[in-house]
Formats: sequence, structure tokens, C-alpha cells
Amino acid sequence: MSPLRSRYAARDVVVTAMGVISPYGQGCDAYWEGLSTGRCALGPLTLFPTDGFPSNVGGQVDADTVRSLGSAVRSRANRFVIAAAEEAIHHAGLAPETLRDAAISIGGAGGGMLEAEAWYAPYYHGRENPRLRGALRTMLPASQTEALAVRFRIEGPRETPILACSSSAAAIATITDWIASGRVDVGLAGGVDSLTRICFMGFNALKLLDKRPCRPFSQDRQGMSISEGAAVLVLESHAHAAARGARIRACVAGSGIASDAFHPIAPPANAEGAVRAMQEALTRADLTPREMGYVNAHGTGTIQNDRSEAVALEQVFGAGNVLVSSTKSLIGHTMGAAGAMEAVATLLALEAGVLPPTANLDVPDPEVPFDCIAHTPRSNAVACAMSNSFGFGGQNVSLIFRHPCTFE
Amino acid sequence: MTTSPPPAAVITGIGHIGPLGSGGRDVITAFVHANTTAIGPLAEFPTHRSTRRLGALIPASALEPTEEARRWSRIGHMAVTACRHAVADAGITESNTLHRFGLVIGSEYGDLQSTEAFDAGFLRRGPRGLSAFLFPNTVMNATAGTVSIALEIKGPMLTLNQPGVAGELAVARAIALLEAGRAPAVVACGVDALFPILYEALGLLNVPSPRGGGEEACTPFDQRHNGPVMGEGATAVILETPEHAQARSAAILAHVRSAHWGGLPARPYRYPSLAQLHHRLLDRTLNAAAVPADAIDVAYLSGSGDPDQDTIELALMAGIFGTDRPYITSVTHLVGEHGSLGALRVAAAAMTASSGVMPILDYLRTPIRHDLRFATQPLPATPATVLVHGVARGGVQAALVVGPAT
Repeated sequence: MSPLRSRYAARDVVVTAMGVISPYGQGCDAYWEGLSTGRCALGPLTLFPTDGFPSNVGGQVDADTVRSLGSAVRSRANRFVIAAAEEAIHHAGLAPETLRDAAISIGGAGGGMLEAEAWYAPYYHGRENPRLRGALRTMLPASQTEALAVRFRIEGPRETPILACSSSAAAIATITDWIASGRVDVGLAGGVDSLTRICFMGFNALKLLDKRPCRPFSQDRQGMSISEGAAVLVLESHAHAAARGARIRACVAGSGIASDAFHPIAPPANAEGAVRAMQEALTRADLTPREMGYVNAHGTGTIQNDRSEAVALEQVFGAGNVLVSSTKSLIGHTMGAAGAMEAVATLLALEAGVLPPTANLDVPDPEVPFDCIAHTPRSNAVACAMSNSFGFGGQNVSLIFRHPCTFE
Repeated sequence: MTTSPPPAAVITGIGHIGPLGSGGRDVITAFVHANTTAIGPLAEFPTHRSTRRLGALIPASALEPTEEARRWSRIGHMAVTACRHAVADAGITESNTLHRFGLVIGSEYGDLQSTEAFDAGFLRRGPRGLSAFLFPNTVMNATAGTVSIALEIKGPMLTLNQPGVAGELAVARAIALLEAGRAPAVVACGVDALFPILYEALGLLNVPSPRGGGEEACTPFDQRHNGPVMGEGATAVILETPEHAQARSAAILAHVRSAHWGGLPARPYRYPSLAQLHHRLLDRTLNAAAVPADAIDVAYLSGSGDPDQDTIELALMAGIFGTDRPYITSVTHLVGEHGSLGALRVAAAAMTASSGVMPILDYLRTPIRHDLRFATQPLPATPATVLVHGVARGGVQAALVVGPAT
């Protein structure tokens, strides 16, 4: 594997554990089993009525998994994120006293809106149900960060970044910054979103949902497939991880954050914000584009996103110079959780030396000049990989991870 | 001989729109100096579905319906207005100066008004009632997107959702962006709007005054306190590295000497209990600023009038300051409470640090503690070193030390 780098610096940021809830079920093992076999988890949504809408296809965490996720008093999103964090913290082996001073950054978008919608409908019709009022207390995305802090008795700096579909990628960049600058030694970074009726209706109203499971980078794509899930990563300074003998899963080599300042929901044709985010990540990682082996693309399956991302990738890496796939074709677009879930997918791919495929990619778009790993996973041991997240509002975040073997 | 550490950031501009005015440092100074309240019976929207009547809203005339603003939500309009005032206040005239800036928006409720309108469209007319125009605003970062487009800010852009201390957090996170080298300057803005469904929902949750009876009023730290009176507003602060400010020859209004935030143990949606309070975060903030407790002249607190919040915040102050008592003040009695009001506290603190102007708690009759010193008369000396402190439901706590430009 190359490129080799000299030893870790003390404040290099490493990933020591991960946890996931996904449409494949609970846990990283289920997640990787689904991704690495290229099994598409998308299908008809059943969480709420979808009658009268053009598309009802998406990703959904199944009812049995949800039932197993602790107290039903909590919002669906809070149950997801607590379960993902429990897995990550368990595997990290973090002591309670270490957790007390840890930072938390959990990105999201919808918060507990699913439950708030259930309160609002009768309220709108003048029949407010006081028993549903509790949903208002967990409606805000910040309640998910708060839920983790309470559950694990964490008192370090915490925040809930909302960058639409880039939220949880920004959370990872944030915790990385705080560790690198010495604010904290350990942090939980991730994201969560549950399906909500508003999100489903909104993307239908924008006519951005494919009637079939989404087909990123395909010439005949018709849009995205919404989904849900959560992912939490344990990040530590290398010095902290090494001192406690933690297993290092990867290094967060660099991250880039940039804004388009262009349009509320559309990227610019030249994708200059996405380009700046990728370039900043490369610079911070001290890597050249040639050293990047794989990009987990934002890859939503909308024409605007796919074409714009292809333009950006071509500007940064050159046509065909990097392997690209979209795991949204397998699990759907998990909104605020997408950045963290795709970061975990990227890390698991680095570890396994297997790149997840782009499902449903029968007819590649000729305007996407990259090998997008159609249908079948690819055995390919890459040393460095990038995960891209782009969101409404012109929010671009790129993350770069390095395999631990790239350090001498 | 000891030397002070360099400031974490310098403040070069502030902008605000709220119930008491719209503008830069002059407007904030004027309404703090005048010490008149905007709180009164709400006339701008019907309150018949609520048991509360008081509030503080931005006059409709302050948000001019320009051609450009037609594309913005109301909260987006508020944020753009405050940020433009701050940019002008900082003497930034070239739009390309802002390209490299970062942007941090702190908000408790974001554009929930658009979310409700979007959902109501469906409840009224089914799928045909859905507005593709409204939907993007249902994501909380839409306001930041609006600001970034209006001001052409292309650096890192964060929206932070946070009850209670969203404003302080926006400023502190802006400083963390500077610290991480993400941008040489950042516009930090706290913004929250008040609208009927929010007003009604907070009433149903029994959050505002008069919780538990008594007169509906905003009386932080007083024995009569029985909950906040809700308001709205947007305040923006321009934060720069000292080097960046110097390079563009900016006039420095104040220094932020340190900024920290964290969590106190608390149950969900509750304030921390007195039994679990500790002042580690305050210690860390003062230590990082290299400012001893007895050098703090003024402390701006959340001071919403929520009895639980008032009690724990004053206990924290008593714990950290002992007999070295700064003047305790707040801005809530002037403009009402909202989750991102902390940005106004920081802006007002910058004015206190630079000119000594400070809100006077003239409504205070019987403080809930007698071992602290409240700002009941003007500050006797300037310049001042100021602590800005906030604590929220759920336990998030933020603290900043703001000092005069030196």
C-alpha cells in the first residue's frame, strides 16, 4: 500500500470505533454485509401513508430492528442515534471518565419531526391531543445530541450542525478540528435522520424522487430515494488512542468545508464549491489527487447533483483517475445522517479492501467519466479514500481517510 | 512580569435587527442606553389560541419587502439584515472580501414557520397543496444559505441548532473555525423568529410567563420571575483573527479573550439541578483568558426569567465570583427571550467593553439572591472586562470573556 507517511503526530485524529443503524438493520456488521454484497435495501415505504404521491420508494429501518432499539418513549431518531453510539462506545471500550469530557457533534436535519407531525395534524384541525405534546420536546435536531449527552453522561463541548445532507460529514470535520487543536482528546461524531412525512412530501413536491430505486450516475436516472439511519464514530487524538491501547481503524487525514453562495437548492454547473471542499481536504491531508484510491460520492441520483459532482471530480482528479461509487444506490439518501453513514462505508471499504458498488447502474451516464463500480463490489486495497457530501443551501464537505497501514 | 495571551478573536462589527431597532453598534448602544422595553401585548398576530398575551416582535416596517427579499423567508430576511448591518459596521465594503469568510448561524427553531406552512398545505389540500418553494426552508440551514448567497460568503458555513444558547454558541464556534484555520474571519449570527404556532406551542408546554401563576411579565432574577416572555431578533458579530483585522486596517471594537462551551448534567428538556452544578467550564474560560475572577466587571447572563434557569445561573456566579462581584445584567427585559439571544449579549458586551454602556435591571424589586451585585445603576468606570454566560435546557453551557481592544 502507498503512500507511506512518517509516524503519527500526537494530535493526528484517528477513528477507533463506529456504530450504525441502517436499512440493513442494526450494527456495522449488518451494514457492511449489505454494502459489500451490493444488496439494494430500497423498496416501498410503509412508515406512513404514501397514497397520492408519484414515488413511494425509499429505505426504511425495519420494524423489528426499531423495536429492539430501547425505549419507545424516545423519538425514532433518538433511538437510532443512541443505538449507533452504544455500538461505537462499546467497541471503543471508552471508560465513563473519558466519556465525561468528550465532545459530541451529531448532525441532522429532520430531528424528531416524525413525532411532531403526529401532534400537528390534529392540532391543525382544532383537536389537539395533549398526550402527543411530548413530541414537541424532541422535535429539534439538538435533542439527539442532548439524548447522547444524557445517556452517556457527557459534559464536553457539544453541538448539532445542520448542513442539510452534509450535516454529519461536517460533524466529523468539526470533531477532527477540536481534537487537532487540543480542545478535546475524544469525541463522538455522527449523524441521524429518521424518515419524516415532510421530507417525503417535500422531495416529491420537488419532483426529485425516483419511482424506482435510485440509479446514481445512470443515464436513465430519475432522482433519489429517501432513507433513514444513524452513524456514530469515536474519534481520538492518536496520542490518546495509543496510550489506552485502542485499535486504530483509520486516520481522518483531512477535511474540507466550502459554500457555493449560488442557489438555495441547486449546485453551480462548474461545481466550484465542491471543488474547493475537495481541494481543501487534500491540502489538509497533505495528499495529491493521484494518491486517492476511491471516492464515496454524494451520488444522489438527481441529474443536477450527479453531473455537478462529476464535473468537480474531473477537475480535482482528472477523468477516470479515481474509482467512484454511490452507496446511496444501496441504502438510499439518509439526509443528515448520510455524511456519517457514508464515512463509515468508506472506512469499512478501506479496512476490507473491497469497494462497495453503485447498484442499479445499468447504463452509465457518458457525462460521468469515471468507473462507478457498477453492480458488483470491487476488490481493491486502497490506501486513501474520500467521502463527499453536498447539501441544499450550497453546503460542501469532503472527508479523507487513510488506512492505518499507510503509517510507518 | 506576565503577558496576556493573544485574544481568541477580535470583534470588528456588530449588526442587529430586533423589536427595538435595526442597525449597527449605534442602534444597540442606543437601546441599551435608553433601557426601554419592547415587551408588550402582541398585536401582530392573534393570540386567542394561547393563554399568553405578551411578546416582543420586530415591526413589519423594519423588514422592507424589497425585490431581493421577496425570495427570502422572514427569518432569512432577519438574518440577512443583521449580517449586512454587521458587515457595514465592520467597514467591509468590497464583496470579494467576504468570499473567504466563514458563516455560523445559531438558531433554536430555525424556519419552523415555513415547516408549518408546508405541512398545513398538505393538511388543507393533500399532495396538491404542497409548495415546492417552501420545502427547502424546512431544513434549518436554509437561513444560512440565504445569507451566504446575499453576502457572497463562500467559506465554511455552519448552522447550529441549540436551545437557549444558540447565539453564544454561534460566536464560540466561529472562534473555533478561526482557531482551526478554516477561515480568517467569520460572520456569527444568532437568529430566531416568533410566530403563532411557536407562541402557542410554547404556551402548551407551559414555558413562558406566567408559569405557575402571578402576573405575566419579564422579571429575570426577581422573586416575581415566572418564566420568559418570548421575543425575536437577529444579531450578527464579525469575528476576525487579529492578523486579518490588522491586515485590512479594521477598527477593533473588542477582543474575545476566550470562548468555551460544554454540558452540565441535566435531564432532557430540563435545566441542570443545583446538586449537580460545577463551574469547571467557567474556570476553564477564565483561565484561558488569563483573567482572574476579580477582574470581571460585568456578567451578561441568560436571565430569561425562567426560575430554574435564574436559580442555577446565579448559583454558578456565586460559586465562581464569591465576594468578587461583577455587575450582573441581561438584555432579556429589553427585547424578550429567544434561543439565539446570546449573540445580542455578546454584541452588547462588546459595547460594554468599549464604551461602558450596560443594561440596567430597573424592574428588579427583590432579587432572588442578595449575595450578588445586580446592574441597577450605570457602570461607574470604563472600559470593562465582561463575562457572557448562558445555560440552556438540557444543560448546554457557554461562556466567553470579552474585553476592550488594547
